[in-house]
Amino acid sequence: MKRRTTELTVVITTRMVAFKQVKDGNLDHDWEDGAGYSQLDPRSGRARCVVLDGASQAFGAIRWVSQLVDSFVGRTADGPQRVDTNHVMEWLSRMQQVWAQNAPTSSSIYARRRLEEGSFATMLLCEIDGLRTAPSWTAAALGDTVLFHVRGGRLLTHFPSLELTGFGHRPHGVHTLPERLNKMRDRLLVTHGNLKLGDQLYIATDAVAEWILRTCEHSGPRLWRELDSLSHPEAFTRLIADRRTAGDLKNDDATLLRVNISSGGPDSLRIAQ
Amino acid sequence: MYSEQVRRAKPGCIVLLIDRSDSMKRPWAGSRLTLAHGAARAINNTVMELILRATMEEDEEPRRYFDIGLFGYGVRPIQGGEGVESAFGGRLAQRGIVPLPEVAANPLAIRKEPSPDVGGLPSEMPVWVEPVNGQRTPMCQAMAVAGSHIYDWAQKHPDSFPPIVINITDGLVTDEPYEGADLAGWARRLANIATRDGATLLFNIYLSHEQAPTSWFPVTSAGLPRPVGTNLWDISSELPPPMVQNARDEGIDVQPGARGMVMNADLAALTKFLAIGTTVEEAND
Repeated sequence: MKRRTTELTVVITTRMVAFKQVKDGNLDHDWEDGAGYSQLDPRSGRARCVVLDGASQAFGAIRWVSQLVDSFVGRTADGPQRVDTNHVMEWLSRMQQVWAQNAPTSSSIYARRRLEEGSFATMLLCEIDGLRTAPSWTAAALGDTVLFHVRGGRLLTHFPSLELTGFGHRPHGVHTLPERLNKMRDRLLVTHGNLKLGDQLYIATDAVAEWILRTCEHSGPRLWRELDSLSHPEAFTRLIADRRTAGDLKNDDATLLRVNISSGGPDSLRIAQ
Repeated sequence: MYSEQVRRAKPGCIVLLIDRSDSMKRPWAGSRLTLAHGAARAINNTVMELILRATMEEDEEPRRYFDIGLFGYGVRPIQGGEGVESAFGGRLAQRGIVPLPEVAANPLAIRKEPSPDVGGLPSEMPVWVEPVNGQRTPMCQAMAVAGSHIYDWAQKHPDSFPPIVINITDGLVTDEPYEGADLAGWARRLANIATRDGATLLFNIYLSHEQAPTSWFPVTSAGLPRPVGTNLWDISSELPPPMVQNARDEGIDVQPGARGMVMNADLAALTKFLAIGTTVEEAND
């Protein structure tokens, strides 16, 4: 059967932006979350984004988080081919080996002991697939970094489907120690959703995610308008500062990644049918 | 109150008062160690744990999340005779409350400890406190001496989580009244030292050389042995919410109004108590 291509049947563009705000009293380089993205590639039809939250007690969290972000979005050539359980677990196993190989030798007895304990971060990976008739996202999660899918000013779903009480207390996550792989596999969650033009995806680390979930219960449309209108890092800084002052937001690193699904633009994609 | 996170800009303060009286030479029930040896081991492990929790990156020294004071009362190995002196030795000898990075850089010694795993390599364990015992139990003086250091510290850190004082003893106070005040009076003076986040916390742990049931965080002094148990209960602070949570995380059922006290602790109980009493939320900055 001859394959038929419909000109511009569906055309999508991803516009991604990440905002961050460190804890009060901290310097920018102390930020221990991580966020990264690769915009939609017209050749592969795929886009990727990732947000990680280095655990506050974890050793070497900045290096671990940076390594995972760089690999997943393709800055290094060792990312997972797909976002499904097997590929993600294979990738995490490789990442653990890379972490161990790149560990600096330290003369400090304390650093050596901590290195043996390993590092840890919560994780939300997302891949957007535009090569199908219906564009979709697939996400994998370990812990309490959360993806929110918004359409027409309403929350369609959030993933993982945590409740307000589910944040912050000993979350699952990505560990550097190989002996944790089996538990990570047991706890890894993978899901997907369909996308339409005009949709937004937000990925947030725990403090922001908890605030979003609480706020959207009673004033969702206003919240999503506010988050969609964020256009400058300063605006995010003000938003976080205001919420912290109001006592709505825990003093923690705050990270929010937004994906807008729209039509047109230089990275538009023809969907084959 | 008791909600401030510890951080480099607002470090916390942990002071351990260590009974070094003669009775600490008795064997610890259920272990082959003397009370003095067991206490020294638990304290060294606690200091190590505080340093490890403050070691966050490979290329930086441990962060100053805490300042640490260790005071021994009973025999004074450096100055001689009975009294109170810093339990630090080596380069830290005679020092009062010391920033954690300095503590980390100046252990008395680093010893090899056998691995708990069969065939495992021995691990290195820094030591800050040696077991010492002799003389009587000048607990009032210990609170007086530590209190003067804690007062100075609180003046310099008014926005920090309040100081935590943990008194480790196996016996009755022998120096009442000291400078006109009994033990309860010295404990009140200690608790009067405060930061904006709350009053100094005083916790007590009683080590038993006999096999006796352990009482965790009692809500009332009823049932505690008199006078040693009731006296310690009287001077112990109520556990604040963060430490109630720590205790519950350790599987201990803590009731409202529980005091920061453990009666008849074995080595495992002492270690657990120190972990509960010295864990304060860290802002990781």
